[in-house]
Amino acid sequence: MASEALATPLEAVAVPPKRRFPTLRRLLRHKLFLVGALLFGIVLTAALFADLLIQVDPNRISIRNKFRPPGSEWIFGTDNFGRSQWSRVVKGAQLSLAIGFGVVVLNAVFGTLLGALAGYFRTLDNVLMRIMDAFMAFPVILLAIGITAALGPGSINAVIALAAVYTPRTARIVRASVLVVREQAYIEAARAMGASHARILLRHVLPNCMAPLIVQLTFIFAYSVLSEAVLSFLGLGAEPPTPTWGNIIAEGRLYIREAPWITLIPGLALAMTVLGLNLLGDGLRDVLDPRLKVQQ
Amino acid sequence: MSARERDPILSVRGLTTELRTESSRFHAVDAVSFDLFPGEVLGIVGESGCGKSMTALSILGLVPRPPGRIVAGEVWFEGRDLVRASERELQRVRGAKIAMIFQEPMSSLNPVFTIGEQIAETLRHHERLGRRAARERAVELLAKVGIPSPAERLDSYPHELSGGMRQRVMIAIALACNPKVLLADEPTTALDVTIQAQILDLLQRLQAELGMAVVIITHDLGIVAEFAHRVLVMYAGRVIEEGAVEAIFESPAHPYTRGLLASLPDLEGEIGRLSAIPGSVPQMGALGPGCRFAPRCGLVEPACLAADPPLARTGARAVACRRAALAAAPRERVA
Repeated sequence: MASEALATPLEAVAVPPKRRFPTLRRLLRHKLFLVGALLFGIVLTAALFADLLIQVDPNRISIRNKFRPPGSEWIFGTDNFGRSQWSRVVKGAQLSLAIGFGVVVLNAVFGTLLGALAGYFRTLDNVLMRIMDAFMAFPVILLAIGITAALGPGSINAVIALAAVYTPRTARIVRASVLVVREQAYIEAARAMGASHARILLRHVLPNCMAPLIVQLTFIFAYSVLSEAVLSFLGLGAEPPTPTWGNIIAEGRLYIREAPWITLIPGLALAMTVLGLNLLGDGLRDVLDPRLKVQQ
Repeated sequence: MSARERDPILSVRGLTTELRTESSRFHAVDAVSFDLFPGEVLGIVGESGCGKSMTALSILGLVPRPPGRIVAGEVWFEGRDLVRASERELQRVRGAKIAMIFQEPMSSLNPVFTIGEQIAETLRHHERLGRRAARERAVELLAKVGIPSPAERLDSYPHELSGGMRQRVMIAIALACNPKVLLADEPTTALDVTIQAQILDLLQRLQAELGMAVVIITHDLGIVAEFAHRVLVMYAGRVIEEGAVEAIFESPAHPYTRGLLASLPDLEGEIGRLSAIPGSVPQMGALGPGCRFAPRCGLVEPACLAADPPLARTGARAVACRRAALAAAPRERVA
């Protein structure tokens, strides 16, 4: 870039040279974002390539090898049934992230839909937001437990429960941005050019609400991975032989004195994921927010 | 009425728009009537809050609701009353037949799309042009509004352009579908003086070239003098004086118009304090039964406070003042 800048021809003054991906550049200069990306990247890689990374079936019981501490033979040690902790934690990463991702997708769809409707069509606002408030009145985990208890345990139901619990928060954020954007002069200008409500909402309002939504969804991802661990710790997530971080910790807690690695390792994996996602979210917020305020 | 042979392209009759706030409700636009003829430039002048922008928004059915609502009147355009037209019909008129440009060029463009996309959007929407055809038209339009290297500029984002450039882009968008009527709401207010002149020249040139009718809303009498053929002076939601530009500037009939003209700096006379109209625009929610300008008028008499004078028409001129004849007397001072 430096040598190119020196050789910039004069015409470039009229039309300044396009810098590609300015947001990405700023993200790459944000140190905490990079740390977050590294932490989450490790977990994501483990989840994506789980089947290549594990040699031993996570559910293969080998009583002979129970309670082996982490070492060269068993990287993360073994649990009370002699199952490979490495296999279980890596496989657990796959399920945890899949559930987190599922929650984020449902959340994005319904949160955006409800928030956009409430923010844009003021007559719907009161009805929709009071329902959202009712949901938000419950503590997150309690409500999630209630919904999974009603639907029955299982990972699909955990996704539904967590999506239902977190959607009101996303809806609030989207509504708040829509309320700001709908008053902008370019929305009035779009109306004056004959755009319909649907067109204005989809093409003019929502794209301008993306920044806070992306940041919010990053945090929702972190919360839902954590909450899913809580649900499966309580036996409301995926059914036991399937490894999830929550039920590994739940099983290992009985042996926490003799074999602390059983609980510690999935616990660390969980902490790493949540910390990584939070740092990513902070970085995105720092980089995306000033763009909203200062249009250069 | 007047000696014009042609029929008006836009005919506003008794347009009344109500604004409702928690504590009061009032007519922001009160029984406004005027005709706009093809190829004509009509200036609407008045102080801030006199209802001039609201009039333009009402014509296109763009009054934000709540708090606003058109409660009476008709807006005739191409044999249809726009006040009674459905939202769908209005959407087909807006941008295609009647376009509007706004005061804030800095924020009237969507920050997340390139200007090319925004110009093309209007064309694709109203004229059903394909992607490529729309892009080609967009380049032509940018060239027409005087943007240098239009083909490269097409991919610029609004924040990469200056205020004057953005207003040019807004004009390009407004003209995209060759509208018959352009409503320009203070198109130069937010710009530097030199840029103002450029934009005004551009509008004037394009108006002559395309032969469209323009309603220019401004508080700047200079713009009206230079650009408009006919003027509508508004005060507190009402039209108080109407006439050809020369006639109004030469012999303003309404004391308010006289005050407005007197407050302009005079380059030839001796240097002195600029005269101002005493007082300020009345609280719209608390209007008395009389003439709305009476509290600030130097020629007020008891009868003025009893009833609001109607707009009385004589030939091409119209004025709403009981004392109009007196006010028009050449040596009379408005104190």
